[in-house]
Amino acid sequence: MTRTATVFNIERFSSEDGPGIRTVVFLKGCPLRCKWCANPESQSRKPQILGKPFVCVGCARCANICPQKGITRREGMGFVTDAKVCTLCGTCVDGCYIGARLVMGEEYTAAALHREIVKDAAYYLHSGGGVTFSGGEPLLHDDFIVEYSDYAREGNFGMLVETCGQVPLASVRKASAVADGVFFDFKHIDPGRHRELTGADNRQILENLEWLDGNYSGFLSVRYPYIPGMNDDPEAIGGFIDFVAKLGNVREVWFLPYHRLGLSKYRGLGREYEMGDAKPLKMSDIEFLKDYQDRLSIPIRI
Amino acid sequence: MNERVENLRWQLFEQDPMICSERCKIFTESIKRNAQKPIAIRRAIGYYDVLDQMTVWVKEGELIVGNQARWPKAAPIYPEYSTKWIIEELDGRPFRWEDRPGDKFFIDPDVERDIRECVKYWEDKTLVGYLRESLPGEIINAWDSGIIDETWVVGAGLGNEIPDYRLVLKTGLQDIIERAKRRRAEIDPKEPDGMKKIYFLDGVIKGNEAVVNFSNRIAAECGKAAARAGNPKIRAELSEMADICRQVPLNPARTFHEAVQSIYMILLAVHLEANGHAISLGRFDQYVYPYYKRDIENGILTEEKALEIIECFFIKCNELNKLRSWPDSEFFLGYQMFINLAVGGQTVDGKDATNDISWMCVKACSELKLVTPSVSVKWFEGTPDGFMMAALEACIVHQGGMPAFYNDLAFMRTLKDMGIADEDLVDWSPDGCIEASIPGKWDFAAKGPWLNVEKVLEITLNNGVDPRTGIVYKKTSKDIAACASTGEIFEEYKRMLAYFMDLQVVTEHANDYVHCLYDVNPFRASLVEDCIGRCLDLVEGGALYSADGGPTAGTISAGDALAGIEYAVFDKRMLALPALLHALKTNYEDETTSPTGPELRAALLNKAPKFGNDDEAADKWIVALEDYIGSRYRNQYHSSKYGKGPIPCCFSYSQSPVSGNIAFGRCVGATPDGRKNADPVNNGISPANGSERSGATAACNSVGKLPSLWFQKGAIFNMRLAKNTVSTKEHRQRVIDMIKALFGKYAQQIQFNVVDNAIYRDAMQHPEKYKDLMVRVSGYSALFTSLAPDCQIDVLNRVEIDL
Repeated sequence: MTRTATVFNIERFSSEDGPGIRTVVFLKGCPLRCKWCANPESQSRKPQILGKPFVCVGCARCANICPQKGITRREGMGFVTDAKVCTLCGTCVDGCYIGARLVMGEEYTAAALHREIVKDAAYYLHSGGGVTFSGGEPLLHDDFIVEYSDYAREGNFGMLVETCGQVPLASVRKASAVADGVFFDFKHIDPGRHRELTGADNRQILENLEWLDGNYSGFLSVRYPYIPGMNDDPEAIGGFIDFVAKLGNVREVWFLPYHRLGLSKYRGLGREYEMGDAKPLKMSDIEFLKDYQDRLSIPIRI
Repeated sequence: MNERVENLRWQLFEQDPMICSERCKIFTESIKRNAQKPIAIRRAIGYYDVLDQMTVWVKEGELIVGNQARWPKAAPIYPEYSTKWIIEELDGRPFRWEDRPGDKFFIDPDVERDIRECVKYWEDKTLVGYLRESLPGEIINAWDSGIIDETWVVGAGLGNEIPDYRLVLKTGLQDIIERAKRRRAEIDPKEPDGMKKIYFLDGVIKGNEAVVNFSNRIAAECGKAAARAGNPKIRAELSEMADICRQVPLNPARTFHEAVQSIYMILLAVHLEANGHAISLGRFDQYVYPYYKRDIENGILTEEKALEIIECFFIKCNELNKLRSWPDSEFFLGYQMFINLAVGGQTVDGKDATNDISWMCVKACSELKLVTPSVSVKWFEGTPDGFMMAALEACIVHQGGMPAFYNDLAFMRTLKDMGIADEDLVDWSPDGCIEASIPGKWDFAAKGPWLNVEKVLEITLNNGVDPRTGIVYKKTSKDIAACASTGEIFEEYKRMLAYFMDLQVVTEHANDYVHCLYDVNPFRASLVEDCIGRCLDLVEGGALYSADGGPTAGTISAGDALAGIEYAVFDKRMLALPALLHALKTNYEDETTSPTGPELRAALLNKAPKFGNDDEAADKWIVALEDYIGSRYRNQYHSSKYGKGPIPCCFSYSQSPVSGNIAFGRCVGATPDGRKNADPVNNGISPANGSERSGATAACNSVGKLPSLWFQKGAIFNMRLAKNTVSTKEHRQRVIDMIKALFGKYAQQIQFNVVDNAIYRDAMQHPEKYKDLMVRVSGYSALFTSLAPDCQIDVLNRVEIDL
């Protein structure tokens, strides 16, 4: 059988996920459940129906035409599909004239994915860009990424992977062997707190990061989502900085300020948003983190 | 910008646009006196009298001088083109000039009296009148119904010319006068057309003398102002200006300052001869650089002074103005004169032509933030990235889409295919909006009736009848409701397009005929090769190069409409074709059908494939349509000058609708792209509003598929950039890399609108207008209108980033 990966979004002309002009491929499935996750539709590995509550006009056509009668209106969330009965037949998606329902997750072979990615090949070549695998946790699809890497090499453009690190070392080895760069997320230094915030402790994650540090020769970037009330206390930040300071091969540290753009997607999936009313941050709110620069020899980026 | 420039700039903003009757009065009196003289001589004398008698003035602090009317930004009146609307609008139909919703003009009572008096003489002698009397009824119908429209050409003078500035700087008008005299001596009046040639050459001599005299009058005015000036520095400056105006444009320019003044005088003089707009500046940086370099080397000029002169020149360009009728204004909103100025590009041997003046023009563009001139960067493989970066940064500061970026590769391919000589190719310059011209060698870069491409689709879908008027144009060969595929409809549509394109061409032949009789302009003709040699005006075939073709509007919308039919009727089978046609007739408002009108429209807007997303399902229709229209213009038609000297004398495709997409949209009923009755059609080759949802590169790829080989008259591509996607050098470099990749696909041009918070606020109020508005925040992007309102407010607080 041909290997496939479940893709829930392909974003072109992305300007934030690596050098040059890039296409970001979002793969479905994630072992972590971070409370602040901005892509809740990425967590389950299975395809699912996502409603867009702020596009929806409330006509109820989707609920009426669903063969499974699996769509109900929920207060503040719009028309929500019950994943347990949904067969992903797509009737509600086709039948929603306003375009407020989407199937999240489509199976792609490497060849099919390449047909999408190669559309922007001219831009990669001019800008030194390429493809970035994001997620979800893209390393759950490690064999697929390895298979795709042949296309990237042949097309003469770069390939990066993002990872939360909560995968077997073997996956990290495989993917890093073919990636020009790895963007490694770091959520919390303390194993207990890490478990509270993400559903798993950070033992595997730190081991993988240390392994990459010792063995990976590509561009290794560590990214820290800065989340108010979660991992923004001086101990957590200090612990993170100290950990990175001991590593020798990391090229940069990147702090990402908390935002709430995932909120409408929680509602569209019929889920509660665990961050409540937490205020989103401006770049300037975390500018002070650059003060940690004197403890690191690599650049801190905001 | 220094204090002088800042003052001049401020005065420009403080000045209300007025109406000036001087030109109208002097010209009318002169023509009355000479009414029976040959047209070339009659108009040349009229021109001489205007330049001899009109008020001239200079302002303290000006380094570039000369005026078009009594006051800066005042519009003269050219009653010989059309008068009916002048009286109607003065009487308040639909608006008096000071009460217009846009492009207002103010008028003093005595000026109004003069104008009302003058136009009486012209009432039965206007170009519009002559033309309309010459046209068959079906064309008049199509004109009045907004399918084709010749008003801009015949009602307001022919324009879109780039005079040979380089030659004027090098040899002066003196040389033109002498050449005309020599040519005149060669003519044997006993030979056929001998006398006509002599009339024309006499007009050339008179016209050039008019301009020399005008410049001397301005010199004298500078002298008077110098005598009045208390400040010795200002006195010296004005005396120098007087010297400069006596030297140029009569003689070759000796210094950089003289070169720029000479160019301005020519620009101004061409504007005073006739009322046509889009008199452009060509490769300004190439023309003046040798003088700049020499002055710098001789130590008589500094970089600062040169920039100051350029900025004064830019400001002066904004003093030129034009009054259009209100319906015509709606096509060209924003007091636009379309004075294009090209920088960069390559030398004739393929080297980078960017020089200090190119950089200064870009700087002036961003410092002054003015409407005019439209600064255009010509890119080729050798253009330095640093220059592209400076231009993009200027564009971000300017916020009005300037500078725009042009692709040598694409335009030179097109022009070569049209037969333009190799040595002339690199000199191509955008004229007006984007139309490609060879400065000093091409007559009118754009000329011809508009074509409302989406209106023709509407007529096709109604079997050849305009549903608005009931006029039957050309019956389709079969009932559209019975078509079994989108392809069959497309065949009918092509036949209908051919019919209306034929009408356009007929109109233009008739138009040239009346202009040859009544609108010969020898001065500006003498600045284009080879009018003196052939003793012919531009409109008679005097130029080396010529191709006709007016703007079109709505090709992308029409292609989207075909994709919409295919999606709803033949692919998803939502409804049958007659039901779709019913939905169009009822403007998507019939709620008794299934799907209802609004449901169908929602599906067409949100679900049907649309151009701009790199989606073959839509792009194939647009490509086929563009190929049909473009190749037909190029290959099937000859302009009136064919065989008289110029080449290639074909027609060409233009997709630079200015604001015509709004005005033309108003004449078009509901269409299967989801457009409702009277909504705007798309602008240029930019994706229709709200339909670009797959990111910038996808939009570029769609545009890159179009057959730009046919687009000599240009195709405008507007792209919206969120301010924070260009907030760092790294981000801006990506945009430049994107431009280069786009241009590698032979796209012609791109211009950027940088989106600020005002747009996002408007999107919160009117989400339907902004379906494609992206927001990018640190590694995350989303369609703005799909966010919750509170998120939207958060985004507003985050995206505004100052450079």
